[in-house]
Amino acid sequence: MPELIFQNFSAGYSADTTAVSGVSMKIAGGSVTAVIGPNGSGKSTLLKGIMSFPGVYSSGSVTLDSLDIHSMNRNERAVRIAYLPQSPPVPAGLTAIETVLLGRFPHRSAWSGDSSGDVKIALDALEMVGATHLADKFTDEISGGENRLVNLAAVLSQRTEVILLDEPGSSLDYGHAAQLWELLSKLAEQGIIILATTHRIEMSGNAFDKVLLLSEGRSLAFGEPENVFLSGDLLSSVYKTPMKVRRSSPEGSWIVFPGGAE
Amino acid sequence: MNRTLIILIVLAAAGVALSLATGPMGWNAPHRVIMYLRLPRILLAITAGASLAVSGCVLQSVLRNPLATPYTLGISAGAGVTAGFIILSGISLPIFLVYLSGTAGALLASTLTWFLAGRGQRDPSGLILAGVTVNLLGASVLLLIEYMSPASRLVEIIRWMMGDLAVAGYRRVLFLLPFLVAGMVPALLKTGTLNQFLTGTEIAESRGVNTVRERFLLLVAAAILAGGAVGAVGPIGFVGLIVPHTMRRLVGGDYRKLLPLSALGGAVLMLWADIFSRVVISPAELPIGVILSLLGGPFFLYLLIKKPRL
Repeated sequence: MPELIFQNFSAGYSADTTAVSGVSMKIAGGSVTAVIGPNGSGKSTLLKGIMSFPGVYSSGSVTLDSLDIHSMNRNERAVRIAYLPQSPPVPAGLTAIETVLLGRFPHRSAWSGDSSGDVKIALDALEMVGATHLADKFTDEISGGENRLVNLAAVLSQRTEVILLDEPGSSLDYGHAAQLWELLSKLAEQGIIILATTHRIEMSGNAFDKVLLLSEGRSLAFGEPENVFLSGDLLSSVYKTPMKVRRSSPEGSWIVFPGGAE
Repeated sequence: MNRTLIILIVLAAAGVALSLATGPMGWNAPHRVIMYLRLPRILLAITAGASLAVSGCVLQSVLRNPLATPYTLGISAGAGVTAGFIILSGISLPIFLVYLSGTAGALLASTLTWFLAGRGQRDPSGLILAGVTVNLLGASVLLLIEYMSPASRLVEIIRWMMGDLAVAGYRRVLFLLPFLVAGMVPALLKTGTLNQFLTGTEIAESRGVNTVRERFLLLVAAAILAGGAVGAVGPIGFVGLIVPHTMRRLVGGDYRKLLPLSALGGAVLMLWADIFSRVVISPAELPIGVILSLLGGPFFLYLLIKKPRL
């Protein structure tokens, strides 16, 4: 099982300021971790910092199986860690299956064609997200939510041990959002590490095993959902509104009542 | 794709045959006319058309903007300024240096665009903004040069800006060839990377593309292609916009198909536009740039409105 360890990790958009700091946590393969927190709390920056994108500065360390991921070269990282941003551009003139096949890029040379193995992996990925019917449709002719599924399939076709997702459920309807979190749970069962930011705890059912709570660029809490959600009035103080969180049943979905009304 | 490829090859072959026969006495023209006037003209149309189309094709991915053309980097304005200056000054230069001056202006302008786009990562919007600024600056300097030019030189500058394929011998083709090779080879080798740029900088990075380095290399390739072509035939920009768009409609957006077919499409378009420019008011010629815009404009509009797909 892979293991992702953060030690006092910070990230930001200039060398001397941080948008998120002090993240220390250990995530084991086989788990889904939700990163939650108000707008501007540093959720997306955390993921960008892990990926060390151009223009993003970071300090501290993130190791995958004891290997510092910032010392890996881009391709080594790309075959182990996949990333899906919040709203990636829709590529012009590509069909869904072609878009999914782009996820195979780290596994082959820059100009080679798609092998039958690549095509099979891409079709499997589309099937996993329930979007096989979109395969031959052009991505600029399908809906935003459908493009979300196609992008997710592209991430899956990259076949990595770690998947970082920025608001994967945004723009998905209830049905697809439920499917998405179910799928993430299933992927985690295969030993993959899933780290996903989300604004909608209730949309993710009971899919996540761990929660990282960020507020104003600081890591406030990390642990089992029960410990984070039910520890005093932590969420109310972070979101600056009375919050009630409970489970539908002992193992059931999380239900959130913002504003305090139940 | 296969159907498009066959159609393009047939159009190219027919274009070459027709172009060889276009002119006084048709096929029966003296051997020297065909070999030293018509054949080099065909080769120039093919190489310049392919260069401009591939340049636009590369820029549309790297700048992630469907309206990006070789002009977006300020290439036309740069070439216009240096060529205009040389024509105004009346300096008599060896012919290679005249071509080279246009190319040098184009490359200087794209370098200026690169530096104006700021330090660090140079995202597409920064580059486009810088390119537009360089184009405006260049256009103003060119206007100033035109204002200061005597009438005869002014006509010469305006004619140069309209593009010109009339040649005697192979000098212009030979001039363009090294630029074509230097730009086309990296572009063809990096079609997979160009595909990744379509999904945005972050996804491309996450899949192992060094976006800062690759964007720079591909911009250099695009500038070399367009700079060489502009030096050899004058600033004909429309090819770089219309051909990649048309090809994307016909064969899809996968650069492994799109880029080589855009090269072929650019060659075919330039070849046929040249034939039209020679027959419309024969025996006189219309400027190739005007023909391209007159024929290409309505066709492009049709593509944008009807969005046909094969």
